[in-house]
Amino acid sequence: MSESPPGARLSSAVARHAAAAGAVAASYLVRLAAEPVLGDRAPFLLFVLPVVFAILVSGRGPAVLAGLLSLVAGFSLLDPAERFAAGSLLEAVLFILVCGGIGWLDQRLATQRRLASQAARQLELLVEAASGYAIFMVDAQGFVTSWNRAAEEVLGWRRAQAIGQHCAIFLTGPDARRQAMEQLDRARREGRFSGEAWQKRADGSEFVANVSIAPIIGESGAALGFAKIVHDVTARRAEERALQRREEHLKSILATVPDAMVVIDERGIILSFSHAAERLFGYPEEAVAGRNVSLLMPSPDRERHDAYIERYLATGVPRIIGIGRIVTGLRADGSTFPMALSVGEAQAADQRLFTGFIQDLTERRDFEARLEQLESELIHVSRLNAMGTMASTLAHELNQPLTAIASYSEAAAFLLDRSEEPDTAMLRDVMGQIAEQSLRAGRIVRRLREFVSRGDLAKTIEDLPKVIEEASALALVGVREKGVATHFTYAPDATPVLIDRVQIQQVLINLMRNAVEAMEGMPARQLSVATALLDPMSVQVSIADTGCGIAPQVRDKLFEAFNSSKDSGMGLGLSICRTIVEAHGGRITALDREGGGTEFRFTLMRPQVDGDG
Amino acid sequence: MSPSPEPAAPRLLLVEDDDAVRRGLLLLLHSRGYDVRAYPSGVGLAMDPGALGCAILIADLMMPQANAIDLLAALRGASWMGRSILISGNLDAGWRARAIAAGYDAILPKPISESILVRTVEELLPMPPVGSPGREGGA
Repeated sequence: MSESPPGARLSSAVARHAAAAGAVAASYLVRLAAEPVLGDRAPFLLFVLPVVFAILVSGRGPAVLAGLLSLVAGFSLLDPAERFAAGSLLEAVLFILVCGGIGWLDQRLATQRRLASQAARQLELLVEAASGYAIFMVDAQGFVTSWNRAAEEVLGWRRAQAIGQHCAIFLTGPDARRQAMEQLDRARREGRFSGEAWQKRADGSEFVANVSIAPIIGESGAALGFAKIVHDVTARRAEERALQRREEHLKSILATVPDAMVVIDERGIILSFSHAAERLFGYPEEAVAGRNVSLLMPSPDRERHDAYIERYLATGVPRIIGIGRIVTGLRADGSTFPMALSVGEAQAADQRLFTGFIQDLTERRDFEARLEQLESELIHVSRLNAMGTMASTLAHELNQPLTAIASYSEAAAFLLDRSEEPDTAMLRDVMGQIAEQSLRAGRIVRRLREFVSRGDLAKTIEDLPKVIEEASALALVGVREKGVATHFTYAPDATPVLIDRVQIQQVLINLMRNAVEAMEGMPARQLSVATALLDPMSVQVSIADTGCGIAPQVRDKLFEAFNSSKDSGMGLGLSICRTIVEAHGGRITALDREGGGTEFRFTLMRPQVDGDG
Repeated sequence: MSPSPEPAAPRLLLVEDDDAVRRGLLLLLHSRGYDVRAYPSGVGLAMDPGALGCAILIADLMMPQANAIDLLAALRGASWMGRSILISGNLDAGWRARAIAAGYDAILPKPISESILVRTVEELLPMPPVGSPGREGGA
């Protein structure tokens, strides 16, 4: 009505009034026709009909017009003498009251209708405006009956295409129809269905959606249909997954960190206990999570740890946080061990966390002890070699023939002195004895060498780089601080070797220490150790320095005993080296390097394996 | 309110028949800020304006209906000029050569390293569109 132009509205109003008047006229005619039967009784009653007609169909104005006309018509029907009698007036008043009551009821109904339609309209607007939320209805069989604008965006179907489709087309997988009906069934049974699932758009592409279904129950209790709401949650799901990934990543890092890690809160309660911590302390995480961290430490720290935290929280003065120190840890089996502890502090969301990183020092101490043992072994060998072979045995053994030679020489001199014509036969015999004793001395020296050579060599197959590395760990202690650069080159085919590891390491240590000493005060300090395969039988090790080189006067006697250019030392080092190398069937040489410095080379035997070239 | 990323987010076209792989990659790439259109099959994509609006194609080589080589050819036939990444679990030299001839910009073996895929997408995005649709005519 409101959309009509003014002219049309006017003519429509005229028509409505005319219709009301017409209805009254029709009633008047009917009443006239009934006049013989009714007479003067109930002159207004029949006019209720046109008034009600006008109220329902034409509106308030025509209804008032119809009422007035009906009153006039009613009075006109009465006998003029009775027209204004009390009974007639009462009937007129009743007529007015009835018509007014009907009008009032209609007004109320109209208001209610308007409110209801307004609410329906608002709901419709709300559903339409719900951006991002596909809201649609399906009937009891699952066919789409309504479709909001967001559904067009979310699911990609136009309203016209979607209406009448089965809601299974939004689901993925081969049994989409069955799934769709199951969801509706559950909604019917449980009053609601809600879940996250992959959904399919009109173009076939997929997204994760939160789907909720509510049944629409009719008065009979049967489901007339279902309201479905589909909301795209791909972004949320992606974010959750990314978060979960990051968390897993972090966990995997923590699981592989070699240092044990323990996270506690401000009260000292263990929140997390890494794999390494489980191995180190002997507790599984679930056994210690939620317990006070003090159970990982012996007395007196055990009793004082809570106070340590309280003091830090109160004063802010760290004793260990960000500093690190060596403390004692307590394992599940009651044993204790030295550990390096460093603690970091973090503010996470709503709480302060402390993370302790723990390094087990037991193994490190073991390693140090092993190095010491190795060193003492070497010193022992060194002493044995030096004193035993070169001095003591040499002196004692050689004394015998030397004494004999001296005696025979004196005897020869005596024979010569005593007569002018010496007994040549006797003299020849003495000389023969002297020669024999000289040979004996020679044999002693040779036997001594053989003895030393055979020594008690415990030859084993060793990895050469490993042997060199162990030796250099000892020989080069503190060397980097002296500004010596070291360089190791290992030929991959120059290993393994058949050696007495301890003795060859003694050679290596001697040569490396000599090299370092030779470079003291030199501008360039570079120590290079290299291995190479010489031939199928042997491997060469070279130790080169950029030191002062070898003085010409000692060069010839370099590998002989008691020949030292050093202020301290007996000059046994290189002679022991040669003895050991030759005992291994190898050779040792020294060369001058171009541009200064010395290079020592020695050879070692490879283990001979059948079929190995 | 809208669940999809910013309108400016580059759109990727993901075609992979394996549900788990496709959905996993969709979520991965979505979490990196891309608007991803994921399809279980490449059939009909050359006629889909949504698919043709994508900047990069990520396609599995072997799919029951149309393989990735044919898919790229079909998209190029529809004047699509985006960049392309082939993913495959079993790529022999012959298929590799065909994929290169077809004009795939990158070929990634399965199982896919997620960081490598993301890096490849990041590298390809700023590249200019492929010259002319007929350039890769060898395929």
